[in-house]
Order: sequence, then C-alpha cells, then structure tokens
Amino acid sequence: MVNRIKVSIVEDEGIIRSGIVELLDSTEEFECLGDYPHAEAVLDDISKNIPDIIIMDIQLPGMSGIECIVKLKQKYPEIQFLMFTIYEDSDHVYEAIKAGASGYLLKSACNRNILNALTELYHGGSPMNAQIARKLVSAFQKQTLQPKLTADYYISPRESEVLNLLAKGFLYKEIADQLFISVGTVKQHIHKIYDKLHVQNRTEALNKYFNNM
Amino acid sequence: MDFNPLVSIQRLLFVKLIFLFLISFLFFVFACGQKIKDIECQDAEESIDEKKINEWIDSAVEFEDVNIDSAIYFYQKAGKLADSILSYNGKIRFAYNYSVVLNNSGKFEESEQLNREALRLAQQENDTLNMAKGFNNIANTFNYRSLYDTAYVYYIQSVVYFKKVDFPKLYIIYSNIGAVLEGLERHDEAIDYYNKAYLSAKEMKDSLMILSILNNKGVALNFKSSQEEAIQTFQDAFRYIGYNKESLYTAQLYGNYANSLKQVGQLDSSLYYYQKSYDISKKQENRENLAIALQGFAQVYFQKKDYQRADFYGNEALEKLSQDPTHDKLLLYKLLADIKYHIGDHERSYIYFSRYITLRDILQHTEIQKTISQAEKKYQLSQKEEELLMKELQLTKSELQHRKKNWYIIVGLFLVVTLAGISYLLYGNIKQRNRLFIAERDSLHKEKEMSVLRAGLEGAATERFRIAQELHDDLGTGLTSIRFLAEKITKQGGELEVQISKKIQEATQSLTEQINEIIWSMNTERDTLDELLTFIRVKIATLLDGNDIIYKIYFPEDIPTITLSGFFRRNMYLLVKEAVHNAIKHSGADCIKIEVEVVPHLKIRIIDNGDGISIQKQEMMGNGLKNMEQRIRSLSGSWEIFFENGTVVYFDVPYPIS
Repeated sequence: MVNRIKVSIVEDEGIIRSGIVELLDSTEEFECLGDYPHAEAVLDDISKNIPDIIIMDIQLPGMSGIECIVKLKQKYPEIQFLMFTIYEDSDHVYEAIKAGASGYLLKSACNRNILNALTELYHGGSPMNAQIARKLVSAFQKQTLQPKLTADYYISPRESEVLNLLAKGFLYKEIADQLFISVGTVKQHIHKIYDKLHVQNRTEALNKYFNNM
Repeated sequence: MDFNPLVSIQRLLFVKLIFLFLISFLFFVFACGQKIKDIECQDAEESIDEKKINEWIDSAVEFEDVNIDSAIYFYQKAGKLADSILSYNGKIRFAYNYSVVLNNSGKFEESEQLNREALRLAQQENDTLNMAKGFNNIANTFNYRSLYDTAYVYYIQSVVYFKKVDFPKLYIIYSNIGAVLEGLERHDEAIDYYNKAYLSAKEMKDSLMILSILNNKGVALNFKSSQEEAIQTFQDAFRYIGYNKESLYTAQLYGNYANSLKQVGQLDSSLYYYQKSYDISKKQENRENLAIALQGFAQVYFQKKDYQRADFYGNEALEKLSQDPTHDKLLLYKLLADIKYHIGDHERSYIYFSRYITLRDILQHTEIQKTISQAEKKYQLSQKEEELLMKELQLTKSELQHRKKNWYIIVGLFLVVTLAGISYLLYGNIKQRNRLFIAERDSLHKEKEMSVLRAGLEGAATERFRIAQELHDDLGTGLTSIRFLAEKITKQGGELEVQISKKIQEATQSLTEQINEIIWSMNTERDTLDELLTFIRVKIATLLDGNDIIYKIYFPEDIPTITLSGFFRRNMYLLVKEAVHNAIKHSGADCIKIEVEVVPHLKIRIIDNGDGISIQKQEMMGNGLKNMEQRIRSLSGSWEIFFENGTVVYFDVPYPIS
C-alpha cells in the first residue's frame, strides 16, 4: 500500500472547498486530511493533522493566508504551501511566496491541472509566471550588490537563465527546449529559487532582530 | 536795592523751572493716577463679570452629566458675557469646556471652529499652555471624525507647546497620538507612544489612564500579531484595575485580553474573560462593549464547532450593534454567514453574506471619502496657517504703534523722536517682507492646488483598479464555484449532461480569462511597453502551443521605457490575438512567425504559411476584420494584409503622447 499524499485546504468559499475535497478523495494518489474555512481553524487543528501540502486561499476572513503561512512555517517547516488564487498576477501571490509558499494554483484551473500541480510540487517542482519572475529578477539583482555571508541564496547561473527567460514571457516548454532540459527540471529549478528566497527572507528577518539589539 | 540783576534773573529762571517741573510732575502723577484708577475700576468691573462667567461655567460643568440642556444654557450665557467684556480667561474657559459638549453631541465642525478661535486668542496673548490645549482640542475633533492624518499633526503641535510649560500630564496626549497612529495603521509607532505614555502615567500614578494606555497598547500589539506580547501587556494592566473594577476601561481590557487568548487558541480561557467583560458591560449598560463580548462568544463557539451556541450569540451581538457601518459589523456578518452555512440555513447564510459584501463596499467608499476629505483638510490647514501668520504680522505692527504711544506719555520728546525714527525704518522693512510674503504665498497656493489635483487623479486611477480587482475577485469566485458544480454534474450525469457541463466549464473558463485581461489592462503597475510585450508573448505562445502550431517569436533585445495607457495595451493585445486566431482558424497554417519592432513605432508582423484567406473566407470572417479596422483606427495606427506564400498581417501603431 503506497502512502497517499496528504493535502489540506484552507478556503472560505464553501462550494469550492467541498469541490477540492471531493476531487482529492476521488483519486488514489491523494487524500484530503482536513478542510478549513479560515486560518484560525487550521492553526487550531494542525498539531493533530499534519499534511504534506496545504492549499491556502489568499483572501481569508480573519487572519490572512500569508500570516498563517508564516506561523505554520515556523513550527512545521516541511509542510509545503500552494496559494490558491483567482488571479495569477497578484502582489499577494508574490508576498505569499516570499513568506514561504512554494507556488500558486489558479482557481480556474481544471481538475487535471490541479492534480498535476500537486504531484509536481510533491516531487520538487514549482510553477512561476512572468510577473513573479520579473519581481524576483530585480530582487536577486539587489542582493548581488551587497556581499552576503553564505552561498545559500546566490542563485546559480542556470537558475538565473530560467528566471530571465520566464520574465521575458517564455513558456516552460520553450525554456526546456532552449536549455536542453526537461520541463520537470525547469520546475525543479523554480522550486529551488523559491527555497532560496525563503532563506533570504528568514535571514533578513534575523538581521533586523540582531540590529535592534 | 542791593540785588544783582543777573542773580535775580537766574533765580527767576530757576523758580520758573522748578515751577514748571512741579506742574509737569503733578500732571504726570495725575495722569498716572488716572490710569491706575482706570485700571482699578476696570479690574473691579471685570472681576464681578469674570466671577459670573466662572460661576456659570462651573454650574454648566456640573449639569453636563445630569441635564445637558441646562448645561448648554449656562455655557451660552457665559460665552456671551465673556465675548461682550472681552474677557480673555472667560472666553478661553468657555471655549475649551463647551467644545467638549459639542464633541459629545457629534458637532465636530462647530467644536473645531470654537477651539480655533480660542487658539487664536491664546496666540495673541502668547499663552503657551492654552495654545497647547487649543491644539490638543482641535486634534481631538479630527480624531473623532477619524481624520487621523490631520489629528496627528495637531497633536504633535500641542506636545511642542506642552513641553515648553513642563505639562505633567503629557501621557494623555501621548495616548491620543498612539490612538491616531493606530488609526493610520502605523502600529510600531503607536506602540512607541503608548510606552512613552505608560512611563509618564506611572510617574503621576494615574491608574485609570494607565489602564487605558495598556489596553490600547495591547490592541496595537494584537494588530501586529504579537499575541504573546499583547497578552503580557494585558496581564500587566490587571495590576492597575484596583478600585476601577467597574469601569469601562476594565470591561474593554477583559474583552481585548479575551481576543488575544482566542487568537492563540486558548479558547476556554477566552470564554472566561469574555464573560467578565460581559458582566461589567451589562452593569454599565454599554451596548458597544456588550456587542464585543457577544461577538467574542460567537467566534469562540464557532471555532469549537458548537454552531448552535455560536448562532445564538452571533444574533445577540448583531442586536446590540448600532446602525452605523463599522468594521466589527463587517466581521460579524461574515461570521454569521459561516455559522448559518454550518447549521444548514443556506438562505440566511446567503443573506448575511450579501450584507457583508454591501457593507464592505460602503466602508471602502467611506475610506475614499475620508482620504479626499483629509487631503482637502491639509490644504485648508496650510491656508489657515498662512492666515494666522498674516494676522501675527498685523499684530506686531499695531503692537509697535502702541509702544510708541506709551513711550510718548512717560518719556520726553527726545525719545519720541528717536522711536519715531526707528519704527519708520521697521515699518518700511515689514512692508517689504509683506510683499515678498504675498508673492510666496501665491506661488504656494498654486503649487498646493496642483498637488491636490494630481493626488486626486492618481488616487482615482489606483482606486478604480482596486475596485476592479475587488469586483474581479467576486466574479472569479462565482465562476470558479460554477465550474466546480459543473464538474460534479460531469461525474454523475449521463452523456447529455456531460456535454452540457463541458460547455459550461468552457464558458466559465473563457469568462475568467476575459476578466483577467481586463484587470491586467487596468493595472497601473503593468503599464510599460515591456510588460505589454511580455504579456502578449505568454498569451500568444500558449494559444499557439495549445493548437500544436510551430511558432517563432522575435522580440527586440532593447525595449525603451514607454508608458502606455490601459486602453492602448488592451486593444493592442486584442489585435494581435485576433490576427493569430484568424491565422490558426482560417488560413490552414501549421507554422506561424511573429516579428516585433519597437522603434520608432510599435510594429508587429504576423506571418503564416497557410493558403491565404480567400475572398469567401474573408466574407465569413466579416465582422472580425471590421473590428480590427476599428481597433487599429482607435489607436491611430494603420494595418496591412497581403497574401504571398501564406498571409502577412502587419500592424503599425504610434505610441500615445502622455
């Protein structure tokens, strides 16, 4: 018996939430561990039900999805987050990724794409769009102006190429062709870029703390 | 006769001089005596009237809690008398006390005016303490109207003057500033001020104010999501409850503490403290605090999944809330919508949800109004400051003239002449400065007008986009829900149902895509040529790839920074989309090339290797080509289409001049 991938969903719109639950439970690969209408609920329940992936709505009543990610990442760093969003070119998505999300999921995506995205994420691949890529290009550019101590968040030349091509509007397929790698590998590069962004953010937060001492 | 004529003349002169001196001395004494008598007389008169004014104000203050009409009656009497005898102290005392009554009845504009008059008087008399109070009171009127930016400016001014006189109760002002900063969502700065206020209040051992300050600090910490610190602050505050067990501040403290506990998941403890808050608020008959406690109950029970209780308390809370649109009401509607959904009352759930949406829009509209109003106030504020400066100048002028007269009475002609000379020089100087001042003021006026207009325009564009995004979010959620429902049908239905539901899904997909395009075109952050080309590239590549067409897209390396309107971007994108769509559907091509040039105009060429579009097909496409014609004209551009080894469509569009 292969272990199913455990997914939880935080989404305040009832129909969509139950739709996702049904979708997950109808597959062999996944199981829906919990469904919550707001962030407070998942924080209450998380210690008893720890999933592999959490699909988190961005607009939630009460505590925001981004805040919830920050809190959860502190205690459970292995949980991966996908932001559930209507609009992919949203500042919220970018902020969520900085806060610890490993990608986003369009609410308008068809069921097949949703499941593919979850599988890819579980195997180390993340999605990115042109707008996020542009923001990251400038974010990493700023970083190279100041020498840092660890090499953890220097992005490699390969990752830099992927980022630049995405920022210009190239599709995954096109990037894969141009760099002679597979689409899966492209997405894994993206995933690593996100990880480095998370590290950078954590370190910045720490620096802030130490400077105030 | 043995007298010396010279000596006698001298003596005569001497006597005359002494005589003159005596007379002028007597005159001098008499004149002074008159003045002193006048002053004494005035003092006597004034003291009787002043006494009356003070008595009336004292009575009014007493009546404030009992019978507000009597209080107003006494205030107005005092105010009139103070005006007629030009009593400075009377006017100030009247203004500062009566404005509190005005505030309590919501007449904030009147209160503001009254305080401004008092402030002017205090400035004339250089009365620093009352100037400080004046600024503080004006700030309060802005605070009550939620115009936090303006209130902040006035509070800071008052602090400056309070410090000059070593005012011992600065913590009251600091606490106000903290509240204003909270309103502006500058939580860290607010907490700084609360800390200042706390230290100052501890020195003065003002336990009631300490309660209030720690209460507010805790709330601010909560907003920053520093729940642990907030809890610590509230627990500190418990020490100061002391004799204030039944006060409103204590009720609020318990309520806020309960909120923090709820947020860190200590649900049972939070219920305990909501109960305590509720009990006090019940005794005080304070509806606002009752509502907060009840709402707290509802939230906690909701999280415990005890929906029946949550429903009960939620409804109770709604009853206690006033008619005003507030943020608390907003949250309560959402909560009730969720509760009703969970107890299966979908109808009510929907009703509450729509109320939530409506209220949200109203609140946002109020926010916009407030921002506009604040911008106006800032402009008026600077105007008033200039007016005050002008008046100060005039005052100094007349003051100088007064001094001239005073000197003339006491000293001799020589000093008069000297002073006359000095004041003439000064007068000339002031006139010149006046002229410069007027010129500066006029140019400042124009600048301010321009910036107000500019802020309005910019604000309007961002505001439109924000509203559009809100609308889009709601539409998007609705469409997604439809899609999921259609998905359900696909699973359970027969062949016909599956077909229909697939069509529904396609339709919703297409609608969502169109909304996204509109939002993209309205997003002012995406208004460069760069962004336009990237957007086109992604969309077109996806379209071509989805239709299994081999494609090549050539973009130039260097793209100039040009700002484009939403109108331009949207139409440009739709043009290219239409042309590519035609190439895919009507020309039977399997290979498409797209070339883009960016100087001096935006030039886009779409080349395919199909059969060309015959006259018949063109007739079939009919409206499509007409639309392209209209679009390109609306962009003041031109286009060509010719057929050689396939079809070439060529767009040439000049950049709009901003």
